[in-house]
Amino acid sequence: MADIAYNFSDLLSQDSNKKIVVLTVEGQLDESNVDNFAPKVYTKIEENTDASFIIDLEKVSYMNSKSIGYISDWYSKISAHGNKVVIAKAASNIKDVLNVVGLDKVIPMAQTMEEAKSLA
Amino acid sequence: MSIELILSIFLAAVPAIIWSLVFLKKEDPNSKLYFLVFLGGTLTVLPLLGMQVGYRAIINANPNLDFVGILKDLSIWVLILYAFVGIMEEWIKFYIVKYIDRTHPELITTTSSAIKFGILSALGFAFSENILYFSRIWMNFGIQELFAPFLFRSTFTVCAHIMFSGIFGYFYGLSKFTDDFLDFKKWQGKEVKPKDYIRHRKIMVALGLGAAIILHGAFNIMLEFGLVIPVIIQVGLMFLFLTALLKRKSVNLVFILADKHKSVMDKKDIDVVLEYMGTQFDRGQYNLVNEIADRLLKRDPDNNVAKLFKSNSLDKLEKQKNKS
Repeated sequence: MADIAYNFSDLLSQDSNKKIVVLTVEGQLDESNVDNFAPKVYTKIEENTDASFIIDLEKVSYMNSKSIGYISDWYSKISAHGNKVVIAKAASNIKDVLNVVGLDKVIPMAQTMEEAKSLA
Repeated sequence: MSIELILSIFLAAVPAIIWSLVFLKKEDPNSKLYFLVFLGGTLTVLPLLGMQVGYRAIINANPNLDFVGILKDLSIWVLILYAFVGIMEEWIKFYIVKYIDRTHPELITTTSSAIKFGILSALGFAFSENILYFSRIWMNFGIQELFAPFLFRSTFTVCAHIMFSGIFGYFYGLSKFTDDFLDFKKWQGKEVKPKDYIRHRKIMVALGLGAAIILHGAFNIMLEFGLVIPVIIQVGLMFLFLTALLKRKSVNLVFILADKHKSVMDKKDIDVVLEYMGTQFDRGQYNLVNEIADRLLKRDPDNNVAKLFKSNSLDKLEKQKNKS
């Protein structure tokens, strides 16, 4: 099983004092771990229906297609509550994959955490 | 060379030219090489001629032997027709296509080009066979008896030959591009084992050759029994099948036989995208798959699996459009 670490942290958005949940992921998201990891995110989304989410992918070196599918699904659930999702600091190869599959058309990508906060 | 033979060559050329215009585009860059395939097809009649000469030699050596009667009594006349005509003719045409593909693999880059190769070898064969038929009828029965056979052979017989070999060509193309077709299936989540690649190659050729032989045999037997209407229906159905195949985008898809353009993405990242495309394809998100394929092909222009996703999505979208 590929190693993966993650944590959730709360912060407030710069403009509107709106709640933001930052999900920081580290490692490789693949078939061996993504199905165990994803339910935790769903739970967090359900607990924070008033919050936007920033997904920090700086330390993610690989994501399989299922992970992309989960991000797309998280986006649907979060945006259904009128909140935003931003992907932050993704490595260039991850960013390129997300660009090819077209996820960047619906989820904005930020280079820095500051930019992500301003978009969230 | 007798005048009958020379004029028979001209007569046999008429359907060959007309049918080649129906199925082949004038501006095709491989026109000259296609002509060589046609010439190869004309030679395929020689072994059959040899067998016929051998058959006549047996009959002449045993004038009292009712060879056909014996075979009919044994009820294997039908089998002989299948075996002799169907298998031999289709097998020889298959070898022409296979030989030229082995020596010039760069020529068959699409399933439709494999179909065209089949069609050309069939046209070459039908051309030679027609010369024999026309000249024999002319010499034995006179020119007045030639009109009906000329009309029937030029339309239905030549068309039937084209269909048998065209259908074979389609399966030959599926066999040649096995790796890409199976990778395409694999990325849709279907189980593909390493041994499936070898098996798929063999099965496709066997299916194509088997279909060509059975269709050819059925055609010959129906003609033998004078069942003209079923023959016309068979040829019509095969014509519709082949023209529908040639319209499909996945059949006209150009496969790259060797990577000429370097990809700007890592293989593992490309695999992630292909897997994602497979999931979306299964969900019927054909527009999305088409868009993803376009973006992937900008980064990896020689990716045949991405091309297959694109062409199959376009085919599905076209089908949906036609339904609505």
